[in-house]
Amino acid sequence: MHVNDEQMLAIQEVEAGYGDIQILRKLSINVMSSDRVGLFGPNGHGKTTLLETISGLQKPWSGKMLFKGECINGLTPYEILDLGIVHVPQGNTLFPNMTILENLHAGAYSKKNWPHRKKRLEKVFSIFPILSQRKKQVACTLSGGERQMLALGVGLMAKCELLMLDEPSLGLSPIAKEELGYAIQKITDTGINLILVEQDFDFMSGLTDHYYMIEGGKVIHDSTKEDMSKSEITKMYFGNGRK
Amino acid sequence: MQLFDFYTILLSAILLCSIYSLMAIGLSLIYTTMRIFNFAHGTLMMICAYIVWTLIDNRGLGMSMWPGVFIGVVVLFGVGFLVEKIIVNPFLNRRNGDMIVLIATMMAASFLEQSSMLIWGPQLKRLPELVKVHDLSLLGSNLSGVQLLILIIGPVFLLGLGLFLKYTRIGLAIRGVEQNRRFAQLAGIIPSRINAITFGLGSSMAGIAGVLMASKSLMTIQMGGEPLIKAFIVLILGGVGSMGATIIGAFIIGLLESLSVYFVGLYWTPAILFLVMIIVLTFKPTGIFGDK
Repeated sequence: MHVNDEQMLAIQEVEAGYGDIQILRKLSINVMSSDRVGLFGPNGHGKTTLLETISGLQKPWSGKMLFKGECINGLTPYEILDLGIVHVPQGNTLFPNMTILENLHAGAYSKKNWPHRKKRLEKVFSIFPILSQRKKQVACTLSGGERQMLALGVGLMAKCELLMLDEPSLGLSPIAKEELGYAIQKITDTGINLILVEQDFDFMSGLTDHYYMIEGGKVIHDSTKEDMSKSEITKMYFGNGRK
Repeated sequence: MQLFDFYTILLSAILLCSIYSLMAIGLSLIYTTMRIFNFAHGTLMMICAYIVWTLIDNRGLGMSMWPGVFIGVVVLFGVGFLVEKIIVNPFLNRRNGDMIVLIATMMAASFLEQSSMLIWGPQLKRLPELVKVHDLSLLGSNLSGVQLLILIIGPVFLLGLGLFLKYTRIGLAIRGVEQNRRFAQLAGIIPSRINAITFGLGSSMAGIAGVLMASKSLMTIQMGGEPLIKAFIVLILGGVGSMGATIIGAFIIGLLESLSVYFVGLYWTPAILFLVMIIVLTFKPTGIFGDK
């Protein structure tokens, strides 16, 4: 922990779900400003729901969510985006019939972001040079890796202090995965906080330093890079039966 | 068939294409963005015509022509915006929302028609000539001032709408909501606001079509009924999804109508249009250019 460490995001005993089905059960996590957080755990146990609840797509049933000390419960997605929380969802991202450039501009739609779009565009292009070469290409013709880069780029067109990525490496080739990891590293190096949901533990551990394991809608394990070895993680993931 | 007749038929088809595109484009825009059919579309055309009449006729406010038309189209944007806020938005996300909205827009159409009857009465009205030019000759056919106007205004408004959707911030958001509503929310776009703006824009396009219709023939409270059906046929034939599909659909309908008037006779035209529509629906239910 650093001296100037302040709390970015505090999730306190949040419950949420879809319809009658409860997904999050009194889930709490803490993100400090020096943290790069990785969330992992089995599918269907609330990681995506957590991100959706933070970004305002789902309303929390109970509990409290604080961003830099300010309560964000019940805010709409665009209000939360304007605070600097960017959520890049998993799958079905992008506007398929728009060009790369139009997708990026749409990412800066909010009145607060629109005036800064030129500057942000340069920043995105410096992280993903391939996007600037293909500005006019229509998004639905991009490869999986390029789509993921563009989705990240669209997120970065907004003011971004906390970046939440939902399984960005899903379905990517090893090379594309490596490129993407490199880009995410570049982004967090500029001081942007990260919450990364991942199934690929190696990918996640290279980019984050604080891990939460989520199962059954709550955190069942919380550890930092230093106090957790890979074998322990493997054990948690697969149980003790694995030889 | 002589060459002269061919030009006449083609010109007539282009004229019909121009006005049918205007009628259908608003409906298409609203459908692609919100996935609902607006049964009040024809009524909105009628309302705009009556508002413009009130603004520019001597018995009304007696304004000059073009400012009156401009205000009418702007007012229609507001009417559409309100219609969306009041009768569409509350039901949109409910279970069976599509069906409720369908009925709600029908009710709105009926409400607006009855109110218009009370306000403006059943007497036939006519807009003054919007342009005062002598008939001119084009490719051997006579073209009246109103026809010339239709020939110009249709493409101008369609192009304007296209440029608006392509290059402005709001246009970008409308296309965003159409293509990926969820992702749009995460990009900071507010779908409910965009829906209302889209409805307003669609209503404005209906409004300009209404003014053109009213300058072509007499105005009645029921004048929106037939154009609504025509707009639906255009959409079904062309397929919803893009402005291009709508415009080509309008041209095909225009051409069919001109051909059937020339060869078969006026009274057969609706029957032929419906027949073609049924054939298209049988073999390509998504319309000629539709992909979904």
